[in-house]
Amino acid sequence: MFGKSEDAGSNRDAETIIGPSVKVDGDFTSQGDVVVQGMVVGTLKTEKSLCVSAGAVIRADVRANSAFIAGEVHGNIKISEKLEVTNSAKIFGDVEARSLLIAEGGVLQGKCTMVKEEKPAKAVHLETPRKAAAAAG
Amino acid sequence: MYAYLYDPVLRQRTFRGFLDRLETRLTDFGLGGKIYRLGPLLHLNEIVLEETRRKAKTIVAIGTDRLFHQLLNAPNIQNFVVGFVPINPHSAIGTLLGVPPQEAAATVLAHRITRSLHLASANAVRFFWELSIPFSGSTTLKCDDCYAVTLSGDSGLITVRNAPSIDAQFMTTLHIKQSLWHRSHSVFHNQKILFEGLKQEILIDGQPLGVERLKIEHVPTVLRVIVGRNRHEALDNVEVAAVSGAGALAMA
Repeated sequence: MFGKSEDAGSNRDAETIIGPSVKVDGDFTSQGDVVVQGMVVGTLKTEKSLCVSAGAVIRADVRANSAFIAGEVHGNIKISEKLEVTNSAKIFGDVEARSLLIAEGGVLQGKCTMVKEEKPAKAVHLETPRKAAAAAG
Repeated sequence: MYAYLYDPVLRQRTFRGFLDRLETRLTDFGLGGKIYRLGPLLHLNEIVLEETRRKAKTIVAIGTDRLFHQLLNAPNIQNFVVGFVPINPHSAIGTLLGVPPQEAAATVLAHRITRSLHLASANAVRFFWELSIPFSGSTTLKCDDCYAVTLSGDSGLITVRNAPSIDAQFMTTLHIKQSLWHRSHSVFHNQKILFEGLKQEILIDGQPLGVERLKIEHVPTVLRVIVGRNRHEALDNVEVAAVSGAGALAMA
């Protein structure tokens, strides 16, 4: 179950691919899927999914819709939906996600916050005094 | 109204037959216009300004990819619809635009299918398709004034492709050779790129340029170009123009 390939989601569909011998330094923002095989320093944000391959190193705060982590992350991670951590992953920082899956052997050293699904508030109907009087009478 | 720019190489005797056949076909299609034979005394920029005064609608470059590249960089070129007749059977620009070489291009001009291309610039030199930047050792690109990308490897090639019909973005592909057997590639999308410390000659739409510092960004210039049915898919957008043509070919 946890032994699947680290390439969750095809690299070919990713908008951004940071290869093994590439280092990105600064505030990186993307609208599409991101695959990290090299190094990222600074901040990393994407509106879609993030895949951190085994051997990749991120020294940045990360924000994504969903993430699959097989490499090393030094920084806080904030995921809107699902965060999947494989057996080769090492995370040093606080994690916030709606859904969390950690494989045996994966390292998570930091605070973990599960974001609760917000239920829509019940509609409250307020009666006018006349209606209330009519109902009583 | 059409204006035809003849590349200086067409002065050679070997191209006489081709020009006769092309001019006959253009006349048959009713695509007559004024012919300018470029040379030392007749410069492309002056012709474009002259045609702006004459209110010509279409300028057609007949010759090499280099001539088309020079036409892209002419002043006020966005006021015209640009056509191209490649003389080289392996023309890269002709292949991208779907225009067959030599007199077969007359059919494409007659169909007059146009596409709008968003141009980009590299150090104020306009291009519409792609830059190729070879590198060796370590190289740094600064992207969008937000982040820097550092590459390390034996050698490699950086390709910056303009997506002509997509919202002002470049697709930057990095092909890196780390060892004899190990290669990797990376892909980024950005709007502005700055290179410094370039050591090798780069290619802009196939034309060589030697610079040390390179700034790549989009320019607010949209060029309408006549394309053929076999054009590159990236050039497709909504606009299609109707077939038109008038006048007899004027022999200069």
